[in-house]
Amino acid sequence: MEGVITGAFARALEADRDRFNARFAMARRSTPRLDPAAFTEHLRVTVSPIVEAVHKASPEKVSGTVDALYDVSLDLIGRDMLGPQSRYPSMNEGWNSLLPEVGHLIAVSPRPVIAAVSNMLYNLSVMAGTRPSEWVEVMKWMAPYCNEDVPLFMQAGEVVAWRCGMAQYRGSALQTCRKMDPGWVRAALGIPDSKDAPAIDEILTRIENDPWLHPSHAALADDGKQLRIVAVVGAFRGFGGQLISPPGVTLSDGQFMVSDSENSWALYADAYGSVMLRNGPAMPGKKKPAGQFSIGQGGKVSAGKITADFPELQDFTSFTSNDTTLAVTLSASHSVYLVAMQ
Amino acid sequence: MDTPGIFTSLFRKVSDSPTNPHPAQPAKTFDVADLYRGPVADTTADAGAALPLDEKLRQAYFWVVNNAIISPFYDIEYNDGPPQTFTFGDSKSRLTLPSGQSYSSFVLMPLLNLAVQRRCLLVGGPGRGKTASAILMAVLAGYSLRDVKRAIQHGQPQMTISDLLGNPLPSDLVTAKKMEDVTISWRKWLGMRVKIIDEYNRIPTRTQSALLTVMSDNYAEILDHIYECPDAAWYLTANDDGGGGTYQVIEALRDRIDVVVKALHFNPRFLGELLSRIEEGIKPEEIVPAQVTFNEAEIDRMKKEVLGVRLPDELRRRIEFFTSQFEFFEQAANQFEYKTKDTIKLSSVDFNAVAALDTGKDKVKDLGQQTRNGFSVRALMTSLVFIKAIAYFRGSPEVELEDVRQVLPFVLHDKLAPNHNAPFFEQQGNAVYRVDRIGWIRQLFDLACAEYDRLSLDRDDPVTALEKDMVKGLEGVSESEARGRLVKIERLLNEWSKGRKVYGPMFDDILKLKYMHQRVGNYLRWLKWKG
Repeated sequence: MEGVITGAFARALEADRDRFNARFAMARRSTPRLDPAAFTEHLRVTVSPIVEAVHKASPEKVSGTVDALYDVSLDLIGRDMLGPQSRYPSMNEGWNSLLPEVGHLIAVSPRPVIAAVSNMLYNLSVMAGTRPSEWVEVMKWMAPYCNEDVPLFMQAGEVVAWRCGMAQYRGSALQTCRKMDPGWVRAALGIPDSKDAPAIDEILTRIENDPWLHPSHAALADDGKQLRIVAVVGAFRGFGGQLISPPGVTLSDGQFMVSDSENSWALYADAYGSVMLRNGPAMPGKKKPAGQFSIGQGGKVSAGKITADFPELQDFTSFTSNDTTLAVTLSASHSVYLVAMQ
Repeated sequence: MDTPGIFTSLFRKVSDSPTNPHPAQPAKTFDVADLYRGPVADTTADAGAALPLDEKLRQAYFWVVNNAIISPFYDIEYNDGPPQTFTFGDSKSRLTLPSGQSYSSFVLMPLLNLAVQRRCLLVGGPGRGKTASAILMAVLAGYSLRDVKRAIQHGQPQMTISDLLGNPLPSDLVTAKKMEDVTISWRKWLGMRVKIIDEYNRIPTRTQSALLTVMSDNYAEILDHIYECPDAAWYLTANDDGGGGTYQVIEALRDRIDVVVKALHFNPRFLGELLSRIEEGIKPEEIVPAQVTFNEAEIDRMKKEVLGVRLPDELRRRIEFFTSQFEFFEQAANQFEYKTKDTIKLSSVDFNAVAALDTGKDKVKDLGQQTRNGFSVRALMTSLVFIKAIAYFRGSPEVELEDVRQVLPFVLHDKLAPNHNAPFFEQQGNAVYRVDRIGWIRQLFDLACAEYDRLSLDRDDPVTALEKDMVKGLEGVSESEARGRLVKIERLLNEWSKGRKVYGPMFDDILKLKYMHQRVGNYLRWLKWKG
């Protein structure tokens, strides 16, 4: 019947009706805008399929799961993080499409899995330049590879977060991949399998050595690389970016640091994406390139014996580089231009 | 980098915004685990372990005051700067708006009691939430509401030792040839980490004695069988702590109570809150969030962490100075060591008769005049534990003066007996202290601190200087140096003996000097013997 919660979920709610009602009433006291109709709809449309999935995997875990889902729903809907008023649409995507696919994992450890998925999607949502919807899709794909192993699922989530733009986790994600089954790694990183493909260890080594080698191409021959602008990072704060004035770029302990007139950020970037993490007030660093790159008049970039012209970079105000990437800033831009062999 | 600042929790179901914020250390590295931290708190044991326990304790406090106990009183006041004060009425009643985060004693002290596993007495009129508060503390300790309710010991005039502790199995009583053959069915509450004794002043005296053994020595005994109880946080309730219960509470039992908290009145301005709870069927003890419940290991760890809070030497000295005010009683004996209120108590001579003897001292200025007793060692130990506990709760690595000032009245409430005949209480505006024991103890501490400052003891304390030498030990000290120390002690005593009045702190200092003189003197004798 349309609009009615049935099955295991209905039984669990009925068994503890007074307590669930009291929890809603308590939550509504601190969040008066919590709408009973919207919450009921959320239970019916979003929570019910998750509970059914858990029931299918492990009927005795339904009660604990309902408890956790109910509490977390109250909390997140009350804060406009989930439900029709959500500020983070990918949170709804995760609850509607990923959680019903991982009922077997929720049954093992209800609250931790629900919390992990919700928190991950929140963190991806608030980080500019990342792709939370892609994370949901890839994790649905990864779920069968994790069986009922919650820690393995969490590790998959971390690796896939890197794949979805969290470049700062590149190192730890690659370390995790080194320990995993090749099939798991291919699924997590989107590396196609073929008879001629090198071993997964070889592919991971290539990725480690070249941050601009996209894992989906890592199994292919290393031909045709040339100097390119591989990423443009940062934007004016007035347009939703972080920077208040055209920035400068330096290198500090091998880390790109971007500074505007107020603050500094650590810049992480690779083939999966780029992010800037606030570091506090502007800090000094080396502007002199530590790597093989240089840039000269007219935007001529050299990397060893290879050169290329980038007229759009001719008005550069600062530049620095590491072994693989040249970072350049311009007088009339709130972005950092990254040049690398790709 | 401030990655964790971005990734770590902005929100939690349990409000963390009002917990006492301290300047956060900027994180230098990020942790991949930050990816899974965020608005939804994971409440598993592993996840809970990641949250500092003092933070969890504050979360528990704020959950209780915001959702469970309607106690809109901020009587434990802290100030970050000068507070605003207002006076009302002809009696010039003063209200302070604290400039720092302040707390309700009715919630905070029981919570600290849970953290340090001590014994808390909740007193107040019927229906003020004493038992409900105790139940809530047990639920916060991880027990199910059903178990907690079953484990409450309700004091009543017919309560027997068997009711309290357990029974021998009847069949064994018939067949057993030796006491060891009798199996005892112990009451379940004895094994719990939170123990609730409701209306303890309605328990018959004999049963109170059995309760005393459990409270003080952590074991129960029936027919030569012993049940060892775990460390526990005790909550006792009484409608009337002034001896108005069905039975007089035996003094030893009263003495075992570490902290006394009063259930304040219900402010009718909060009736709407009460009404909505009734209408919506909300019973806070049934919906305590798992994020604020503690398991046994966490409670044990919290207790250790509390004891690890540092008490600075300067504060310790102030506590010593305050404590020294009360035991000294000049007219009690000829020999210095026995010039104490304890001597009078043991003599069965009327306290007031001895107190009336004139010593020529200013009886208002002498704080010792205001009490009929001094501190017991137990009271001092309890004070130190709760002082550390409140500093821990506030997220401070070391005790501050205000921590001492705020905690002492609750610990000493039943420990320091006022001498209502003291001239202090006759002075204008002081009669109220005959009734308001919390305020009285707090002002005692304030007066002691003022005197301590007047004497500049932080800067110039000759006994502390001599103590520092003693702490270094006597090994390797030459005869001439030892003699020099003796001379210093004797000079100080000589100097002090020229004064005309002796007060409590000087009495304890004199005895300390005598102790040091003996130790150095013995060392000298040993040096001579050694040749």
